[in-house]
Amino acid sequence: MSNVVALKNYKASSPVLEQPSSVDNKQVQNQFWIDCLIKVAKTQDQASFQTLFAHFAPKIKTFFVKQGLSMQEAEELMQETFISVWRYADYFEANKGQVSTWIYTIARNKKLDYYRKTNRQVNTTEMVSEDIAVDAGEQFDLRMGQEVTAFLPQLPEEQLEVIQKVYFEELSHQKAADALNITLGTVKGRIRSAVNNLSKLMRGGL
Amino acid sequence: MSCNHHPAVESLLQHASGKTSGLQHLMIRLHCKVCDHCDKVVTEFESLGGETLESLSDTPLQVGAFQALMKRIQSNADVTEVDSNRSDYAHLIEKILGREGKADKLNWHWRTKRFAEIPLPTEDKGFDAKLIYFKKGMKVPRHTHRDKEYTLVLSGAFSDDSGEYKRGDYVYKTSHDEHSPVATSDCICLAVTTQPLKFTGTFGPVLNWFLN
Ligand SMILES: [Zn+2]
Repeated sequence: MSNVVALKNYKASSPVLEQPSSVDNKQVQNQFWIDCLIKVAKTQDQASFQTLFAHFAPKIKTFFVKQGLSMQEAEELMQETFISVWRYADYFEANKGQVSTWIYTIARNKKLDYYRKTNRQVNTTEMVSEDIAVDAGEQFDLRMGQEVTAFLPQLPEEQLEVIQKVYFEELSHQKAADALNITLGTVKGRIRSAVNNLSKLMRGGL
Repeated sequence: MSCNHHPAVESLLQHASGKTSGLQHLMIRLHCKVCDHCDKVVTEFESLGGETLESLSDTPLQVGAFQALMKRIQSNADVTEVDSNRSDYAHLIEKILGREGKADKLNWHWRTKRFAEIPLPTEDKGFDAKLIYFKKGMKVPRHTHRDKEYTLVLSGAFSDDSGEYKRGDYVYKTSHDEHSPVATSDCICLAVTTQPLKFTGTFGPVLNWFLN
């Protein structure tokens, strides 16, 4: 939007800003990305934009490839993702968390848009078993006034790991089993436990 | 907390990880607009997506990718929406939920004096979608669902044996659930079924005919 105007001063060889060396420190790293986004939003700063691009674009391309798209499609959707990052940098709410999460949601929505436009079926994750839907209910009822606090950290690491592999890394249950060196049965068991635990957590504590 | 009935955790996970589409996507998205609770849950799941993105290896980009990108931004070409659900009626439904505009003015097909509907076109195979309007006090005859029924309350409220459902509530019923909802105030719902409703009460055959 407003960002487009300022591009007249664009130089093809904007230098990439230096990233903090303490990559381990997630908070410092995230603050760095937030600062980049703010500069993009407020001053249409291209060096900051290119810094974000250099870090995230190759990963986003991988993300699309993992969704089963071709290299060409992945490159195109990566570009569209960054057009949105540029245009909507203003909409990022720094208090809401990680820049990587925000960029992830943009890429995810690009994927969904693209699937819809090209009449592709979205690849759903196999539900663990029918009895969860019946047992826990496909809806959960809450008592009044309970606030959700961060519940993912309360999940056992081994369950979280499986959820991440199956839902976000697009691995089949079997591939997740191979990647984690556990049996297929264990994968299904952990997902079932994770879903049960999450249901309980969302209803207000285990 | 404004909502009492929510999608299951597995549905929210599917949603956060980009595996819901069409009507399911729309219903969960709209529920999250009204329900802070589920909105937060989805956001937290999305952070797993962000973490996963960070952990991915790099795929080499085409030569000059950044320059090409800046050119496209500069030329202001192909504006695409961030939002992934923009069918015409999605917009309409969102307005009803947002209490904008007059839902009465829609092109309702009145089936009885107190019951109207608008069938919605859907690209989702095997799904049947409609907006339904119950006037206060309207009792829907006891019915079962051959498969699955998802309901999102857009305005007003209705109740059945298992509770009351208000604006934003996400209700899921399977073929095991037989229920006879009553509108406790003028009520508009988005109803999605995998099979047409099957009425089992006295008025069953007539209403089945009306509905199909
Ligand atoms: Zn909810």
